[in-house]
Amino acid sequence: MNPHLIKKLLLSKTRPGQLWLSVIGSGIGLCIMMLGVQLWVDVRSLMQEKEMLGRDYVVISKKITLLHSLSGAPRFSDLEIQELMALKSVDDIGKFTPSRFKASMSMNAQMGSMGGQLFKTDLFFESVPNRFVDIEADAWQWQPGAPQVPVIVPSEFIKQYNHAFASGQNMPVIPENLLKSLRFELLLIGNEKSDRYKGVIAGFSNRIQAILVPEPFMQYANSRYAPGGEAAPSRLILHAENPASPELLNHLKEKQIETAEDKVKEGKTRLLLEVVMLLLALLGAFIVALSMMGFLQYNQLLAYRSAYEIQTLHRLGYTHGNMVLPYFRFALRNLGIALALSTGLFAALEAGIVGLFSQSGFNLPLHGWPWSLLCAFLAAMLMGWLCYRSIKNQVGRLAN
Amino acid sequence: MQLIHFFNVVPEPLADSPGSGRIWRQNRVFFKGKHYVVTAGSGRGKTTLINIIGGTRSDYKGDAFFDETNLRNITPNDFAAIRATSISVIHQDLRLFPELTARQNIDMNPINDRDAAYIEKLATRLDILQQLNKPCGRMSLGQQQRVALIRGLVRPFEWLLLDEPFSHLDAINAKNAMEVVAEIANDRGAGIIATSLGSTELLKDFEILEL
Repeated sequence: MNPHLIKKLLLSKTRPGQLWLSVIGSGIGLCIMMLGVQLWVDVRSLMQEKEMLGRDYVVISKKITLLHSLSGAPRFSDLEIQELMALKSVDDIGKFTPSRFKASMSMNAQMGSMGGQLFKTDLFFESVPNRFVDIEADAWQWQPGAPQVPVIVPSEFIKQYNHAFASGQNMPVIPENLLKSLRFELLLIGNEKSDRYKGVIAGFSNRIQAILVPEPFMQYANSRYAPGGEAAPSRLILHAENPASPELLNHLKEKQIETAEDKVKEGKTRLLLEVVMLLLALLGAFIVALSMMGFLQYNQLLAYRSAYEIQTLHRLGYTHGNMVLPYFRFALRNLGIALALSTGLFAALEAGIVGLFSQSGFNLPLHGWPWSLLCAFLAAMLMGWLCYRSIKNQVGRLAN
Repeated sequence: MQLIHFFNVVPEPLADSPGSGRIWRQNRVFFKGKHYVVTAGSGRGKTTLINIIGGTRSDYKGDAFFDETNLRNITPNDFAAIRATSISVIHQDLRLFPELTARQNIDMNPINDRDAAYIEKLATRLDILQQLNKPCGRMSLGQQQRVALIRGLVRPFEWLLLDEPFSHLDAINAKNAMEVVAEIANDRGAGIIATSLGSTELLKDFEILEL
């Protein structure tokens, strides 16, 4: 047996042009797959970032009709909350607790020469469980006896004050960070008691359009100024995987529950993005499959061109395995080249794509390439295995 | 492998033609060490017979055996091993690799049990020593036939299958080649099954079987 001569005989008709075409083709196929996987990983993690289209919070309430003007806002029963919780897209539900006492806020100009009250306004609070609040936990603490109460204000509120209200009323415009350093006075009245607390703005929320106080404070204040009035919540905050999921939207519609439109729109955008990404992935998979087929075809053709040699070696007493081996080794070598080629191409293109994204204002988090490389490697392994099978079949067919 | 046994064997392409010969549809045993020549006109299945024994055709009815083993029960890999060690076939179409030299062609046997000196001696007797380093594609058919003969004779075998082995040789070369073949086969104690279109004058001491 002379392995060198066997190899020479079987691989005598490689046709360099076709060979490189098949290697480059599968290299490009693998590269497209790696890019697809990398984009998938990057864009997904981008989508899961806070405030970016990802999982989201939705505030819902029941539709108010004329009937309710007498009975008060419609409330959510425990059963309804359980139904919502049972939906697949809903991860968590928090109840809004409204204040049941009178409250007012005033700000005094202590530092200025004028003294006296700058302004005073009635207001109301709500609270939600802490896990739904998007500011740091340290600033969001309240213990019984503490004189200072942190408050979260909707950012939209401040904007309206600054841009619409303040200029009309000759009031000073206040930037958010200055507002945080101001102290104001809260006056709570009810149950024949009244107390003053120092208020401080702990943060501004885009998520919840309500003036929030910590839940422990709300419980304390409600029991002190309006005892015994515990009622079912009329507003809920949902943590949903996708606020635009048809399941959730249909349920809300059916139960006549209202939700903030923009969140749903955002969710729909996200859905669209996912569909587009899925289509791209399918297209990519199609190209990858085509390139794989091209590679397999080349190897089959290579064996086919040496049909006489395969037949003759078979007649001389060589096993199919003896003849499959040189072809398989050759295919593996070419796969290796294709893999190296695709990795190089991928590295170059990936850098370009990251640049493109950052030009559009998206900073792709750098995850490294473990998934893309792993997928390319697995695809190459799959190709190797398919190649082995197809060469084995081809040699078996040609030998007799 | 002491005997090759054909029991009611007939190639499928010949299944419909009436048979009157001494192999197809017969109970026929070939014994190791004996020499047989199978004669028939074209299209009577001479090459098919060689290929059935060589394990490269299985489209036949009936059963063929090596000793007690039915050929149908031999896996392709086992059959390859049997060819490599026990059966040597000189094909009618020679089956050489035209781009390889005579020496390289001879070297293509899975197993060669004769050394280079033996090969050169054989080449001298067959009068192609000068051609050994020449690609087979540039040789005459007669020279190619002798290269194929050498390739078939320097590998281990218990059975030598010759498919019209001297078709391209002149009378003197054919006689010479026949002597070499018979001598080596006898040395090895091998059986010979040869085919011929009709002329058997060279094949002395061969049992003649009409297909």
